[in-house]
Amino acid sequence: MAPRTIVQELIAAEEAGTHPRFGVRSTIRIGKQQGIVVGLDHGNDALKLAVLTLDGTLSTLRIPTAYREAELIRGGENEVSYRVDDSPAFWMGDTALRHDGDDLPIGPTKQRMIDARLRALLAASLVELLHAAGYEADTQHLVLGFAIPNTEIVPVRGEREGEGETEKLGVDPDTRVVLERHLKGAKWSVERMGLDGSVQRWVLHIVAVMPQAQTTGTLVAVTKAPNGATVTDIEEMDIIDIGGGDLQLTNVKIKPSYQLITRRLGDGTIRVARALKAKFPRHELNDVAAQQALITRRLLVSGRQRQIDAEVTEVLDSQGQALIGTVLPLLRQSRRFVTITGGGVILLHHLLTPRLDAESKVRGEDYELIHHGIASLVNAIGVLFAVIFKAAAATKRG
Amino acid sequence: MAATTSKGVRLTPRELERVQRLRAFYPEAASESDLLKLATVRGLMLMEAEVTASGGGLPAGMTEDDLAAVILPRILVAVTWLARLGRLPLVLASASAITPSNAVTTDSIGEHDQLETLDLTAADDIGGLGGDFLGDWPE
Repeated sequence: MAPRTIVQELIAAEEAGTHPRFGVRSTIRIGKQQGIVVGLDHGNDALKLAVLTLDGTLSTLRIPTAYREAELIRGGENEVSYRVDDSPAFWMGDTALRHDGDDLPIGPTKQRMIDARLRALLAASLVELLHAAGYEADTQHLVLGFAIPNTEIVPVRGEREGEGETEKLGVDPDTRVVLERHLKGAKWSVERMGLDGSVQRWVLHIVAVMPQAQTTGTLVAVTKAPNGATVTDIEEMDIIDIGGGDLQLTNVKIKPSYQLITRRLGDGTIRVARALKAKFPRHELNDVAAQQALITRRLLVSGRQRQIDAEVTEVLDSQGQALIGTVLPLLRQSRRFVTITGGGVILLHHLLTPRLDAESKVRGEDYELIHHGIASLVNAIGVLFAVIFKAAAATKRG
Repeated sequence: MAATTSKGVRLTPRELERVQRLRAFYPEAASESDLLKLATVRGLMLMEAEVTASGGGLPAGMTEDDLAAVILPRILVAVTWLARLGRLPLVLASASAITPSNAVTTDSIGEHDQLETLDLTAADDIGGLGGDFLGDWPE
């Protein structure tokens, strides 16, 4: 049987209603330590995380980047809260949004990572991922694959023995500095207060960090098998990433060697979310809350959870269709195989599918729309595998 | 990549046809020679398992667990197919609820196996796109 790509494995599991399981170890040896490999895609609207459980089952999480200092709940149901090192107790993600939490800074990695709230959210998200994947509350060493914006991968000059000065793709120096300062080697003590009031104490040690372009994650997932073998006869591909913040087009050459060129085409689903915000002018929704309301089609308005299907349909019919209108010419004009992915696929797939079906190009032969059940997570999953492949090569080659 | 030595084999036209037919199912093999190399490595693993099972000893540097973990996923595909055909001996048929998904655990995959089964050229592809660990790889 021909090996399947990582994405094909994910779709097969999604369609079978099971969790994807891979014959790959969840940990790698780094120096004298074993580290759990985690893939993390830091999107504008949400953190997407992926890890393998001890039996190789894939576990993923999507956590909206919302933060709110926890308040004392004097009666009724508790909320899961976190405390990182000396930080105040806080709520994150959906919980923070339910309590009018703040969205966190978007933009380049160097601007995001200097915000202590974001680093606390990152640590707590890792704990939540490990907790969900069945790891024990203990000291855990992590090897972190960190997806950064494609624009932060730049040509970097360096010296190589015997070759003099060379130039190759690498991490933008500003991004590198901030990741080395705030992430690599970080040790975080994290308390997780559960719904029943129990407290788990975790210590996370980030033993290694591997930054990669976000699109590398998708590329790995759609062209590689879980053992790293390239499983495609496609030589060139366009990846259209409909993200929360950005709509990006990446031209990728796969054979004989990889090459990646990225262009930002405009706003991603944030343009739809902002149109939704405008429909509730009295409620001052922030961007993350609006993005989440688009997906859930629910909003707390004047003390009542309201179904907002009509408002969501209206903004999708205007701004959503306009976004699709930007995507379709790219598909028509491309001579490469086109992959359409990103969190925006969750929101737009029911509009995208009929419009793609009406195109002369053929799904599977000329293009692929990543299944909406996994589209927002593909970058994080691909990044996870990329770390495993890279670590294996580093270990073997010494 | 490990050094290789060329060894010629003679194939009948019928065997060559089988190689050509299989290539479509193994796109990771860049040529017919590549596919033959893949077939040789897999065949060798199976023969090593047969020899080990009959008390003939293991290849150097490999434990029984290593070998079992490497061949298990390959064999289970065939076992599942044989079960579907009803061709398994009764004793195995009663245990044919064992499928690849519930029989293979990563606990059984040693570090050595992981390194042997992963395609290390993937690391070069990722490195070419700027993905690399920050700082030196610890010894």
